[in-house]
Amino acid sequence: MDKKLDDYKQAYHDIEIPEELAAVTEQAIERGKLHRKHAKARTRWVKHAGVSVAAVFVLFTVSVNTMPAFASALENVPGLGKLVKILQFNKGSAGGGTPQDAVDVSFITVQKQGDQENIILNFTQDNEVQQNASSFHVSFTEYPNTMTFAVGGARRFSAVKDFETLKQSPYIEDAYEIISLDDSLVRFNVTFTEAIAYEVKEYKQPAQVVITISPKEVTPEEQQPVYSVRTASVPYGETLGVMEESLLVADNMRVLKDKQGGYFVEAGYYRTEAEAQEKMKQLKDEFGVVEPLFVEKREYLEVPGGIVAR
Amino acid sequence: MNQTERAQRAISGDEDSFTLLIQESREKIYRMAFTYVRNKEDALEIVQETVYRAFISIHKLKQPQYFQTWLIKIAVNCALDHIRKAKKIVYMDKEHEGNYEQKPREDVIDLHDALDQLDEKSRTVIMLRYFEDMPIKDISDVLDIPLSSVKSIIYRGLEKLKVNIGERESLG
Repeated sequence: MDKKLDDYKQAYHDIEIPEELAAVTEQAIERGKLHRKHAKARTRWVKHAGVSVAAVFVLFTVSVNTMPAFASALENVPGLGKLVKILQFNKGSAGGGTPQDAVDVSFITVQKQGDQENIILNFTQDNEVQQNASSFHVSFTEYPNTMTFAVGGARRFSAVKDFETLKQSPYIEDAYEIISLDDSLVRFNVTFTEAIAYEVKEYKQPAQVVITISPKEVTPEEQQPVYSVRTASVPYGETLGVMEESLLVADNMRVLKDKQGGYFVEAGYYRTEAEAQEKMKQLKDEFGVVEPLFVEKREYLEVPGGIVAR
Repeated sequence: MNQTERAQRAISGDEDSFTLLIQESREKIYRMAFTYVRNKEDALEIVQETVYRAFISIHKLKQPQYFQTWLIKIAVNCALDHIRKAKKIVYMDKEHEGNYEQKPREDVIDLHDALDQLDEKSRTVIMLRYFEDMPIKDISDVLDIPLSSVKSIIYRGLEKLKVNIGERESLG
């Protein structure tokens, strides 16, 4: 027995060490340095953004609570608890909640109301229903129609199991988690099958976030194809997180899933190919992005394709 | 300079000290990673993740003397994460099946056959205890399980290995 164990130990130490090992570890440290640099820049940015977002909400909460027209419009809302606010989207982006920690995005349900559908996010904290929503951020982008959620202070994401339920909605094409290098941030995307109008409300006691979606008319002019500047596709993993950090300099960065189930980072999309090419060049030359970038033509509701790096 | 002093410097932000610490430990991390995934590409990926995560969180390490345990803890978590995620991903290309030019040595294959008899946790415990000669107390820290559980996992793991070895020997 001991002899056998010794043999195993010998075999274990016989595992061949590849030549690339040194290079791989050095590369990892370089990535780490890059992360430190970006993390500093990001902290500053978040502080500024936080202040302006807060200002918008103070105004909006005041209007919800004081204007009768607002109040009556809110009577038939689907949440269980008290309405905190209706999110005001500014350039497709809004946030709410209060900063907390150890939150679990515990489950997501879908509720039908005529041609409307409500997607309801529920939270728990220390295995108890949370009373006030954790700070969250929602943004809506097109090509394809995608809603991105980010929940701060979230350590767990039990609701991943509910993505299948979400996909049963006729409006929802796909729902998927996005990797985050911050271990207290849960992010996910919902891709829609058609053009939709949306409204997001935050409730307390218990904490819920309700997203109401309904179909929307879109003119053909608004559905012209665009040219996306993006990275190659990679499997779900830290590589993706690192790619995202290297593109933080881009204006409209987002992470998307492709048709084949790979993930990539998009720096932005543009109306003409020339414009996209120019942006790509600018990212490389002026911002020093080393990640290989590609220009991809995409239709209005098209799910992006998989691009394989050489 | 010993490892603890070096770790102290790394914690306070000295990147060169961190690099040296990693140079001392990278082969160990690679062997552990390889034991889980058994191919070079995935093992290297785990090493890279481990080093990256260690770099960006070294400032959170409170006691420099635990650097080694802390690093191994990250490596084990990265390896387990990697395995869990790999199960979800279906590779479109056949790259991951085509790497058989370099066959592992026969004794390594025996090792893998033996470890296959164990579940993930027992495998980790046996590897750390007998191949890395790690004290039971440190294993209990790495895996966040009580000392007594580590002991019983070792006991059961050894028993299991012994049973299988016994069977094989009787066949041969």
